[in-house]
Amino acid sequence: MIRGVKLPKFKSISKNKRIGFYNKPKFVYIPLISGNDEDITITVKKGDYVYKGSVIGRRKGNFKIPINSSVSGTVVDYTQKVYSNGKKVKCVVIENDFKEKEEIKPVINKKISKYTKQEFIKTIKDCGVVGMSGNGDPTYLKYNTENKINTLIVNCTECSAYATSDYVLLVEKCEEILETVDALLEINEIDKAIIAVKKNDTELLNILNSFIGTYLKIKIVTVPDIYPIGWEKYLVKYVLGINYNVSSIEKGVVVNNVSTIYSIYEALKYNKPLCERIITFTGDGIKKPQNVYVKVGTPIMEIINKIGKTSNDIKIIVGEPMMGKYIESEDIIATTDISCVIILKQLPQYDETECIRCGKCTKYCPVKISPVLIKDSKNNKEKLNKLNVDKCINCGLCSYICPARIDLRSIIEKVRDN
Amino acid sequence: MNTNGPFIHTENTSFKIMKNIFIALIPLILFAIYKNGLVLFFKGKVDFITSLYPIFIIFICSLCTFIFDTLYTMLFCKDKVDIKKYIKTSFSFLPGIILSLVIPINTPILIIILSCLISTVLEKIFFKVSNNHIFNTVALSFIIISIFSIINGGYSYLNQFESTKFNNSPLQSEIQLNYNYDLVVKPYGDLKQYFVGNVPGGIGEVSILFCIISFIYLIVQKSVKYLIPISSFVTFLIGFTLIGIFNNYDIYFSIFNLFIGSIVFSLIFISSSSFTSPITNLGQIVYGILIGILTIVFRFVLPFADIFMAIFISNLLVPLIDNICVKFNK
Ligand code: SF4
Ligand code: SF4
Repeated sequence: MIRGVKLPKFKSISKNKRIGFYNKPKFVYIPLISGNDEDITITVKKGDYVYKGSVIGRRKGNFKIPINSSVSGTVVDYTQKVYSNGKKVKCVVIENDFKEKEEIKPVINKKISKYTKQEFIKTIKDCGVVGMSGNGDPTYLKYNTENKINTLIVNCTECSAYATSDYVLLVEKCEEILETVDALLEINEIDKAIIAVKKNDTELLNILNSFIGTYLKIKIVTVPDIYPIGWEKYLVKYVLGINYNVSSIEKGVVVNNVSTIYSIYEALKYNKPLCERIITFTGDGIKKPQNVYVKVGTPIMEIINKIGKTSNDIKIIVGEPMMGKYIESEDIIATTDISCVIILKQLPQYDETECIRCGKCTKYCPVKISPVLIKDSKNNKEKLNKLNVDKCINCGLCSYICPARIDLRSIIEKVRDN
Repeated sequence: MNTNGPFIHTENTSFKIMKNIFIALIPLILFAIYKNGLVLFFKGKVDFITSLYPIFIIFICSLCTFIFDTLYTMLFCKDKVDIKKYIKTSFSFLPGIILSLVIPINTPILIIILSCLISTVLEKIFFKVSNNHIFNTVALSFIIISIFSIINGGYSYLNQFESTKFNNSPLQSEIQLNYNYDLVVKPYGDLKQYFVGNVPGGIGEVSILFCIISFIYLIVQKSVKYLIPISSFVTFLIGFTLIGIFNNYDIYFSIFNLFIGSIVFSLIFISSSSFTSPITNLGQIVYGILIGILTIVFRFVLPFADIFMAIFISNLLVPLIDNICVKFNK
């Protein structure tokens, strides 16, 4: 049985507003990190001129995925900026010349479905396409498998209480996304594609239904509006009834979210590297909540200041409210894995009280462990081993649901780290 | 300031859950005041001041549990607890209200105070030692009152009006005469009278109707571990139906036994107390069944405190039930 809770929704704040553009940052700070890997070879030096899309660094090891510049201009420095995980990472500072010059690449004159599998893998790898909702792993890895892929699931559930970036992208680019899904089926000889949409997301369902007619291998499946239905393991379980251990590829299933699919489209169609994305800027701390098309490496504060703050003292949460991070520093930059920035006048205050042993944390935990028993046994290593602490996926549902406002997730994180 | 997230939370807080339990008790409190006070006044059995006696008992019980709990916390836990916040959020008067609704109307005030004191202090000491709420203070208080009652020849459940009509409560009649519809059930009216609460019993628990209304309210408000009372009810009914069949009793036997002796009220408000019951669904079902079985056993062994003994013993097994059932939390 799938466990989860219906979260309060604040999507209407930004959902039907026009997409804004912020494409003129004076400097961009391209983070030298790929996924969680900071072991990056830098391919530029101070003073170099770079084009929009030029490779400025490359991940070492097996996944030599490139890191691309999001503007054309001059490399002026290296510095530390705050990444989406709250930690400082080394960045290449590029001064924008606002010319948006791109390297001259061979023009692609074929339908995106006509790529061979090898060409496809090479293209999305060279364009630096990575997962845009999870840990930012290179997307080509999912397709570069000897196993037969039988199903592609397109995750359109956008589990967050605030984010609408996937929604607006689908509304704007529905045809392109369906075309890409169809091409992915053909190139990778995948039997079928399933677009997973929340069952109460009627606007999205209507849009998809109005375009899907000609794509016989693509089906829409509705899923319940519960958190964390967008978690890959849950989605695969709900949609296909399949459990897997480490990766869905074990069972011949690939899951991509909408933004990733669109970046595959841009890579195949225009050979365009992944260096821009749509981010939802929302919350009561911002004057005009909206989705903004931004360049990777743009300082988030610059965008917030452009939109306008409602208070001088704002609090920034990067990501969604369940798993997102409060970032104290104003040095945070836009990256491909950020779908939402919540700007609040103040952080919610919660007073922790005594555990009333209601059992709700245990009842709703998606990985079926018992946060309250882990809390009670935090000093008993032997007991902790039996309670499967390592299974925790940090979804935060236990802390959300706890009526005593105990921050169980943090307790579990600490217990696990010890 | 909460900087770790999540940055949204469910609206259901411990405070709201406790408030809902208090709200659910209001119909039963009003019923207690009506049945043991106002009715007597309107029938001319007592003067107006005396008719307020149920309110006095409810007040004394809740004051006792509140004061003893708070005093203990102030004296022995003051370094760990912010007392002001504790008083605001602990709802420690609730066990007192619950206790006041199940005890006989003729329980001496001194015995009430003593039982509250002993049970609260014992509970706190065990909590300090084990970091677990080992047992329910209401169950223990009632057991203590029952012991004093036995020593003192029994505290009568009959109010001043009922004592002019009956000699005993239905449960006492059954104990003395064994089950017989005409001798044990009928003198108090048909089962409808039991359902509405028009029979002798604890101060405010006898109305099955109000108990069910309160239970539904708590379920709707997500403020009760409903699996416990339900599994206990089912176990109790199945057990008593089998006993009835075995002894050739009529079909009312099991329902009658469910309706008397504070069973329905105690299952809803005491057995399901979240502090002292299991955390997993399976654990709650197992615990409910255990209470059901033990209640049946104690009805024959120790009928005056059957459900309370059953809850008290089951409480002690909660850590074990939790540890076993969490493995089946699939
Ligand atoms: S949800 Fe909170 S109050 Fe309930 S059992 Fe878990 S930790 Fe205790
Ligand atoms: S944060 Fe971990 S323990 Fe808490 S609900 Fe999520 S998976 Fe379960």
